[in-house]
Amino acid sequence: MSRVGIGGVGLTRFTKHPQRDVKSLVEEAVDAALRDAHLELRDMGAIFCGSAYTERNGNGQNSLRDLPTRGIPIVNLENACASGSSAVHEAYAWIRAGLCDAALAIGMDKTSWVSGMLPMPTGRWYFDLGLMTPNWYGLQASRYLAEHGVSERALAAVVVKARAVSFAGDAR
Amino acid sequence: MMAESLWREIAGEPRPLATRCTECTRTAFPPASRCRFCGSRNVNQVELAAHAIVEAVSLMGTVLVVHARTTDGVVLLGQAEPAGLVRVGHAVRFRPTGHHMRFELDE
Repeated sequence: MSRVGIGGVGLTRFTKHPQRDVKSLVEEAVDAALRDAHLELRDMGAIFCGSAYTERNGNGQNSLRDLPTRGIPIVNLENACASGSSAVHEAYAWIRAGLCDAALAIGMDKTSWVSGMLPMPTGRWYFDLGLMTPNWYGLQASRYLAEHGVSERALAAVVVKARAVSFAGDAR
Repeated sequence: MMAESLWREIAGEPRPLATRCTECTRTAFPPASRCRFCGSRNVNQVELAAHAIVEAVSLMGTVLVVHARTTDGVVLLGQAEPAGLVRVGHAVRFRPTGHHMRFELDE
């Protein structure tokens, strides 16, 4: 049974980019990941593109249209906050199944057009409570802290670390 | 699911509704036409206890949302008041308002 590994990673700084579109952000991250892996786009057997709030059909095809992707299948996924990690999982599954030797997984979204919280659907009793997406995670975190005796300060340290990595634009 | 079907008043007291599976015997909230655990269609609607213990909290602005486990063991989701006082481990009672699942601190 073959093993599958991450060959390279690339990401943009986690901040607002008012002058840039999603396409340019994707290009920067893809270039960085390929450079990190010492691979070319033509080495990819498939491309998986996860996004949740970039409301266009064919987000992957649109974002990669100026790159040499001819002949490479591009699959778009929407799976809410897990869209990017689902793209990674699909890439893993394709390689593990022997459908390709290398694959590119992309997570992309630009949500700075939203003022405040991301809009929630209406007409569902749980959203009508005023529940927003962060509340789901807040409930889980709150229970975890209570059950395992973890301090809020310890959880905050994880957040500080994650944001520092994202802001630096260096996933390694 | 309509909000009205999430609870029913019994003897003047609002009681959360759930479905109990006659096959796997598990109880799930909110009520549904099938068992969320085993998929069976053989479910009955049951009323849950109106008293619960808060297991998780999340504050968004002035609204506190909680997971609260009823004394018969089912976890519910709803707002809790007063938002600044309710903590994990507190006893609460079910007091819905309008279309909202809601809890108050139990005295």
